[in-house]
Amino acid sequence: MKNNEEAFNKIVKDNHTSIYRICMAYLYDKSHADDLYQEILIQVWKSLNSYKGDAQLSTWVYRVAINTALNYNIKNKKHVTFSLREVIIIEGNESDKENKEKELDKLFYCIQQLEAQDRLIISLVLEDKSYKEIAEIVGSNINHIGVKISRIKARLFKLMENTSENGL
Amino acid sequence: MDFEDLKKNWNSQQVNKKDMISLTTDIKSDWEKQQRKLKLSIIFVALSFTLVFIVFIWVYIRFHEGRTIFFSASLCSMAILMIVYFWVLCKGIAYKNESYQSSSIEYLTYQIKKLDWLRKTKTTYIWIYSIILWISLMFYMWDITIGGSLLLKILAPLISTLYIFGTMIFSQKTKIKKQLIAIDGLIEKLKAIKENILN
Repeated sequence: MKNNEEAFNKIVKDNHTSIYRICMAYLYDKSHADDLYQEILIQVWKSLNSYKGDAQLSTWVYRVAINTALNYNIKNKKHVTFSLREVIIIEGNESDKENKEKELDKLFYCIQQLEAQDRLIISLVLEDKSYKEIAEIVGSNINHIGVKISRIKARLFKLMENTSENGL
Repeated sequence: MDFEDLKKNWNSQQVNKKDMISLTTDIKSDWEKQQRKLKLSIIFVALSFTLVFIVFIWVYIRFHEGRTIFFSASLCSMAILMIVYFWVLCKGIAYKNESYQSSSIEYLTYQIKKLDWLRKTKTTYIWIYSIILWISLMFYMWDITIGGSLLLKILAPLISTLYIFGTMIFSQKTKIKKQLIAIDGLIEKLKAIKENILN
């Protein structure tokens, strides 16, 4: 149990920010993202004993996170909101800060327009995961995931363009 | 703006660090609570089934003398009913052990399989259960009405049959129909997600 606790703390410490960012991109609403984040940690804790080392620890953690997110989305239908997200505190002067906030808001808003599973895949790309690792997480092959990511990126850029033209 | 700029924006998000110790304690205590609940429910189910089988044996020993073969047949079919119920229950519990560490495609396939099973329990197994229950009751009725009037011999099984199948058909048309719509909706949604990932 003590070893599990240590392993769990390490996983949380190493992946806390990435997992939380994925939750936010997936659900947009902070309160739901908090719930999903908590749910992911519970599943990581529960699954820890069955980690056999056949996949990299980070791949394993992302698999648990992505599957929990898919499950959460299916169980909780009415949680998607399209309002502006909360202000994020970023160091810098006022105008830079505002610009960055706007850009980030736009990015999240556009990610939110994608299909649920595409939101998860693009989050993994934004987290700098390799195509190979993403393919292992979702259970697809590397060529197919490459094509899929290109399509999602194109769609995201189109949405970003349209959002710039029309405003948020 | 290129994708690298998007990545920079993405990485510029700041996330509030929660208190690690309290978080771990919360997760641990939630997990322990869930485990306690699971253990208690397994003990409860095991005890209930043991008790029911003890009652069956006691009823057979205490009352079988002087009764027809239909009395024993009734108890036998009731025992078969309990076994079927127990098997369905155990399979349902086994499906609760979800493997979140599989790939998304494997996970979705498992969820679809689980929902298919749930659908089967509400369409096929519920009828098997009702039919065995009906057979068991008919044997029992035959046994207790053997010395009775013809009217009693006809009315008792008729009323029981109407009650069992009437309730079944009513629940199929109302409650189960709603549940099946919800299950089918979920299966469709999961299949669409799986399809989208694969294409």
